[in-house]
Amino acid sequence: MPKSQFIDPKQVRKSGKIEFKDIPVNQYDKSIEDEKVNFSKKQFIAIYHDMALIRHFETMINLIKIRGEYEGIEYNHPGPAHLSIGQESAAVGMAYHLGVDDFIFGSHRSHGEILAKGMSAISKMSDEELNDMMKNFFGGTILKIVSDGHQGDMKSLARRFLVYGTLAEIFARETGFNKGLGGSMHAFFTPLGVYPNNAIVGGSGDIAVGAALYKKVNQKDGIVVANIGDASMACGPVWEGLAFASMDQFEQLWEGAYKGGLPIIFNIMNNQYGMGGQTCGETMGYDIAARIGAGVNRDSMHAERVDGYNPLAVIDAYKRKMELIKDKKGPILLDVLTYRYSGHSPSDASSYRTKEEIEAWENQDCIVSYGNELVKAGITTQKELDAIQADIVELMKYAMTLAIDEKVSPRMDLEKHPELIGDMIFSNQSVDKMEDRPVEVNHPMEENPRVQQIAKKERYAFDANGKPFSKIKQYQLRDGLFEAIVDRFYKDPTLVAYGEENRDWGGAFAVYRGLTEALPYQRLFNSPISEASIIGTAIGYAMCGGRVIPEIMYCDFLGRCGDEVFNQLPKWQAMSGNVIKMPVVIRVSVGSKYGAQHSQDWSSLVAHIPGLKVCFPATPYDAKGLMNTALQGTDPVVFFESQRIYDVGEQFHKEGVPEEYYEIPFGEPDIKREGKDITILSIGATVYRALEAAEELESKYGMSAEVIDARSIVPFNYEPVIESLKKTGRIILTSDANERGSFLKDMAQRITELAFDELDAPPVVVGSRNWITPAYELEQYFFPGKDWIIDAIHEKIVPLKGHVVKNNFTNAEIIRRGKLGI
Amino acid sequence: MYDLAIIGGGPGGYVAAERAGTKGLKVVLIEKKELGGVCLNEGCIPTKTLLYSAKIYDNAVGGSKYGVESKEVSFDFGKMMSRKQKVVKKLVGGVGAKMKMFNVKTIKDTAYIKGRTQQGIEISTSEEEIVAAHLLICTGSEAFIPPIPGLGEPGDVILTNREILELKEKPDSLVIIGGGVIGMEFASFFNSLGTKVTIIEMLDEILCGMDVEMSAMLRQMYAKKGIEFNLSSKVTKVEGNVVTFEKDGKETMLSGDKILVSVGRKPVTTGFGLENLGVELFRGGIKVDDKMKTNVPNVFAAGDVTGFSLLAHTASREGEVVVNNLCGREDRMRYNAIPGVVYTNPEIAGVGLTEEAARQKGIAYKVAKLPMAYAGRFIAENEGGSGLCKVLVGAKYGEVLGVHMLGNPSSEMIYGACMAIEAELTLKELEEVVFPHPTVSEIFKETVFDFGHITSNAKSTAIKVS
Repeated sequence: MPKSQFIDPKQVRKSGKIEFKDIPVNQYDKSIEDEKVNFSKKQFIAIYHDMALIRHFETMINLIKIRGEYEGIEYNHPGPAHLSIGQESAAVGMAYHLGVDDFIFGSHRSHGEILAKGMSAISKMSDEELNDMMKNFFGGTILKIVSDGHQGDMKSLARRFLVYGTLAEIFARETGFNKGLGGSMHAFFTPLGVYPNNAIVGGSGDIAVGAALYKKVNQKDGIVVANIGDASMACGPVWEGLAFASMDQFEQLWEGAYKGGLPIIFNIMNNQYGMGGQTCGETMGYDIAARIGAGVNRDSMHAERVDGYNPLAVIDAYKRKMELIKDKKGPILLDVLTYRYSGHSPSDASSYRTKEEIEAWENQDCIVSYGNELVKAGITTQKELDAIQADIVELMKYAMTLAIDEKVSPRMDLEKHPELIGDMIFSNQSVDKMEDRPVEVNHPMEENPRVQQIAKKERYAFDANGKPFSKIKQYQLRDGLFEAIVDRFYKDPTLVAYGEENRDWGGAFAVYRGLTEALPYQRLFNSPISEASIIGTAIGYAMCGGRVIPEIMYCDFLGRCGDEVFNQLPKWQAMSGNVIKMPVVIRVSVGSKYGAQHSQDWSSLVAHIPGLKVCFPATPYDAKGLMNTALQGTDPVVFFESQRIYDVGEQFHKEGVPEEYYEIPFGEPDIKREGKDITILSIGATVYRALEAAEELESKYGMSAEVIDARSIVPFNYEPVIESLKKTGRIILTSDANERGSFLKDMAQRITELAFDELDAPPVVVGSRNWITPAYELEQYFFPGKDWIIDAIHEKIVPLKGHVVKNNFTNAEIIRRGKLGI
Repeated sequence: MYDLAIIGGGPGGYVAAERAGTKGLKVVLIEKKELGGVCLNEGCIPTKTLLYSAKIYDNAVGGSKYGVESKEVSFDFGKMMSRKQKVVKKLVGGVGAKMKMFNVKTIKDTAYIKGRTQQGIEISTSEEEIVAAHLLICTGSEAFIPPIPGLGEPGDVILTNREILELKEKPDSLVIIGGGVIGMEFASFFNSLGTKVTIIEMLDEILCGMDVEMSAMLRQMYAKKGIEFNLSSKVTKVEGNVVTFEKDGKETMLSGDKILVSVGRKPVTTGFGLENLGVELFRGGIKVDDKMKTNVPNVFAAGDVTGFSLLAHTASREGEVVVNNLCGREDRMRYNAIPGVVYTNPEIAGVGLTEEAARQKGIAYKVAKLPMAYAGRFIAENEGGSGLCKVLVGAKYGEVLGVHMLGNPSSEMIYGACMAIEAELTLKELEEVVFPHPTVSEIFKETVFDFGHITSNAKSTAIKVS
């Protein structure tokens, strides 16, 4: 799309062939002897220790799950445990070079990675840093527990801290790393650079890319490692993450310090199985997972298969790959071959593999082999290694005893504080900027052409005589959005916006017109057409501390990022125990005129998911005020916009949309027209049809309708609606969402529950039909119109003298439709 | 363009037309036969006219009980029938006059619904192509002829309510299939005139839906008067004027000069283009909600065509519900205070729940009953007669749930109970109502006070009446 890039037909039509660089497979070929120059004895031993630590940790949990007992300590852990016994060398090798600034993301099978990365980071931190880290986490709660009776140095205390915090989290204790809200599959610990592990297979495949984007855009040190399983390589979001991470623009369009590839390594923890499906030979066709790199970019992602059964091979690979990242040659793909002896989970009977196969791998066990090699090379003795093992067993007993002690490690007390989890769903903070540093912009705001154009517009739609100004003259809803967004770009240096056709084009609906001029590439860019990565990366970006506006061009495309919107974005604030903030404002445009796959209002689907704020303004004043609020907050917001009304002027605030900054609190509905006989509650663009209906009700039937614009639906304050009902006693609810299961139904139920005594008739919902959206010319039969509202009032709430209905709101018809599911 | 088109000029249609006309709506009423429908032409009115003749004859014959001797008492069947014709004609004329008075356009033709367009509902008649904003369907019902071998269309022997009203002579014997209201009223009439009447009823009691105790009492009275009752009997065959029925596995053959089929009625939903609207049917009738709306916008139905509560006064009220809502007055049809009357001699009248219905629905009730003889006026006017009044009230609040009476003139008294139920009166409130004395209606008040005599037992006093 950028004009600077010329697509020359002569060039692109030339014949030729694509050549791939070789992808190395298991080429590490060094002995301990060879590696003595690279590792001290301490380092050799630390590698052994960390692997053994993981082995004992996982073994302990396995025994607890299977026998309910470990070393004489009894415990019942009903929750999940996806263990990685056998994979220790892969985890330790991956983590060896990583420091606290390097972030790892993982999967449901990531206990080992937490411990490996944690130990690696600890080894590189000073005692002071360690002390601060532990002291500052949850007010030193965990530190207090583990320092009790501790004898030894800061690093060994930190080791206790790491093991206890992880175990307490797995056992859902409030003293765990995420207050027990993450659990085994989602445990993580950001102070040591361990970012969320994801129970959705491949979930980290795009989120981690967002973290790398954060590092790049905000010029932060460190790299990002996405630990994903071999079986996740079929997941769409993983591919979308790969595509996003390897965009040409990083190299070709981004400038200065921002030029170059993303600092990310996709680390396939290739244990060769999904749950039971064998990726090589059964469920995939790549043979060797590293082959995937060849299809992604010119560098084949510098892909390589590494023998993950040898920790030194993995360490070697990381050393080389981190050099590439330093040279901005990311993204990297590593296929780290490994094997798990443990089942997918303790209930796994291993029906999909033979005993012989497991034994063959056990005979080459990574820890035993490595230990033998060390002994053989004279670096250590078996006795020394046994002592390490014995010490680890003691540590495990210690952590276990403590983590299951109800007094030391209680669970969240929901008896005493019943709303503890509720209070964590949103962070509800008001933050001007996520980081205090100068913003990168191309020119002062007042020089921006769009800003100058808006300055000439009429901020109230009507002149002194009540005559509307021409559409071009009117300050439109899209201008309100723009003003709020551009304002934030000049305030918050971390703010980035991207999506499909955001740059140059200015967004498909011209909200961003003028932003291209104002912002450098790294703050506003075009993403691939891959909604999962658009939202997934935004989640990663926000997790690391940035603010972001991803755009979904049509609401209908939300399905393409279903996991990101439903499982990731809403969950991580609470699942982290509120360690993580999620300032992501997804702009979602609701279409019309474009048929079944471009005209749906899915606000209800989003509202159903706990953890998302949802708003749907219908006026320029509300759009600007709500966008300001969304961008000032720290919570994920799904910001709905209707394409029917991007060009609508401000018809309600006579003094015009303020030029200065203002916020409209989420959850407060707004009375757009006062009345006393019936209340019409609208979500989104239907408010204008509701107002037309109110006019007709008044003029033809002498009925005075109060029109309330919900403006936002999560949160939502019912009090103004109840107040209205005290006057009117009747309510009709309308929106463009199809009627079955729409949020209006939820509202109708709440209203019935809260204001039953005020109601003279049941609340009636007028949504669109439970059909496909037909062509524009037939939309009047699909979307609720003014006459639908009046008909429904006449048929279901109160008869209007002389009214002849056009639409079918009879009970029999409703029952018929119900029977047919339409 | 009419505001309201009504198809069917029975008590559903013409009352709705009158009410709508009064409110200033532009109304057209289409009736293919005579205004008044089954009720005026071949139902309520002609039968009551004839039954009154029979009652006068009964009184003349039995006058000696009251000290009045009549010699050579006789009746003229033809004259009874012609008087009935005169009464019908007069009333039908009256309906027509009312339609004119309220500016209702009437069309005497078969209506044909062409369909529904954005302009309205299009109805074709020979006189006019009608477009109406709303349509009320009141096409009523017709006698149901059950699929019994040999039982064909009505003719010389096989009669329905329609043909029996056209008889030129009193039959010597009459077999009635179906001992419901219609069957019992004709049985009463012909029994008075000396016809040998036999009733075959499939259920175990006559007058299904009425208070079972009173139905049984009435049956016993008529058995004494010579009517033969065959209950729990299923007609299996009709050959000429011989009816075969089965009871307890035993076949019996009966013959009568005439055979009246009165097993029920079926809604009339064909022959006028209903199918062009896509109106939903339920058990043969038009499905409606409590505002008499069908599934098609602006299309309503009232009366027998809905297939339930087949009574003229139900139809009228249903039509009024439609008109009220059209005129901006919220109104919903309620069926809990619809009276039912059987014009036998003595009459039975009831409104609201029967004990049987209350038990079936699991409604906690209390009941009180008194013999009609508790009202002095009844003794004065019913020498040797007996009767019963029964009142059901809610166990908790004492609201009137049902009132049932056997004895003359319960048809004229029951409306008081209708008002009590409609107004949700309780025992306490009823106790404070003053009844005129001496009237038979005082039996209602007496029964109400009888609740005071009931102490612990929720179920009644038990003054046995036989």
